[in-house]
Amino acid sequence: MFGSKQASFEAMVRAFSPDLYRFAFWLCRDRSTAEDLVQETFRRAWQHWPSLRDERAARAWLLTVLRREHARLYARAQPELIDPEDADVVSLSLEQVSSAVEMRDALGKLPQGYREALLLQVLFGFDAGEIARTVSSTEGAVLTRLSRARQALRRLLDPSPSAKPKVMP
Amino acid sequence: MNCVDFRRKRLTGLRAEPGELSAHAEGCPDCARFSREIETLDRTIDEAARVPVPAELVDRILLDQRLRTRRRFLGVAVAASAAGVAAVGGLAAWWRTGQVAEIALNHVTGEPGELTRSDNIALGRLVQAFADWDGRLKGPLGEVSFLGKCPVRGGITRHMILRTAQGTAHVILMPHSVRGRESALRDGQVAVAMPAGSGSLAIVAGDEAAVAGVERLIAQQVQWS
Repeated sequence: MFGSKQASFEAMVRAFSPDLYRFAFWLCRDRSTAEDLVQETFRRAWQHWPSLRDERAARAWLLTVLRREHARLYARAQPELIDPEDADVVSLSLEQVSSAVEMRDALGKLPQGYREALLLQVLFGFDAGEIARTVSSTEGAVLTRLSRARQALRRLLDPSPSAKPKVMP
Repeated sequence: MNCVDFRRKRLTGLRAEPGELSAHAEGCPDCARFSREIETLDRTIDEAARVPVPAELVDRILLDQRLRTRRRFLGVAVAASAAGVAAVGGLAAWWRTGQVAEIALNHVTGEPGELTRSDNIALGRLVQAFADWDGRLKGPLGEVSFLGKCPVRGGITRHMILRTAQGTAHVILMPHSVRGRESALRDGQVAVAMPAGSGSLAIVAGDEAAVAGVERLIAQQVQWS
């Protein structure tokens, strides 16, 4: 019984920790803090293991815990800026690296609510309903955030007038 | 579907009915261009969001979980002992990767030759070493086969090698200050570092049980001022 629990837990850690770390990083924008947040999240997962059998539900639960831990942390400390080391994206072309670096800078400038909704969609493939449940909001509000997040990124990356929203014909 | 609906769906990244978006884009060059821009944007967001994940993250989480599980069993076993309770209290600190633990681990793994030394270290030398760190050695630490002043990044240490029932363990008095308990893990070696005296104390051993044993020993035999 214990062995099974241990094996299942390890499988969950291996499966979810990369995306949880990335999500945590974009919440706090500090590598060390992101690691601490993910570790604390899994420590709570181990304590509540019997209620985490369904993979999809477990992932949403982990995200909720991680957000809560991050909110608690925010009451005590301000995050540092993105570590320059994180600009290393060795698998991308030079042009792509430049784009990714610029995009990371732009993502960091997004309001937290916009960035969070966008990353839940990009990293976890969540739909608007799942994002709404995770961030305790409504689907309508999430759709607005997703739309505004992309519009804001377009403006940040290309401040020319063509990137600004147009009135539809 | 009109242009407003089309662009709203592209901006929210939501899936539309099959063919619905492409049908509109075929007849609307402006929206087709807009759609291509959003595709490029989304691809770049995906690439940028996937920041590198620390290679040791999974190991750290699993080690923390195993340590906590063991501590729970250990807590039951030593509940009747006041010294044991104190040791478990110390062990309950947060497992956290840290620079000082890493420095200690690097030092141990980088000097394997020291492991073969077998000097018999006099108790007086050990007393002096701890005194240099504002610690008072109250009793023996068992078999100590090495004591030396070792340079590491950031200063000079007092490095002791203990032969314990669980194998070789390194006790290193570090010149660095640490805010709390730190840990590091590599190449089958576990390191912890914690505040102690005028600097910090690092323990490096082959597994977490050996580290915990030495930590209890130090807690019993050394009084820090």
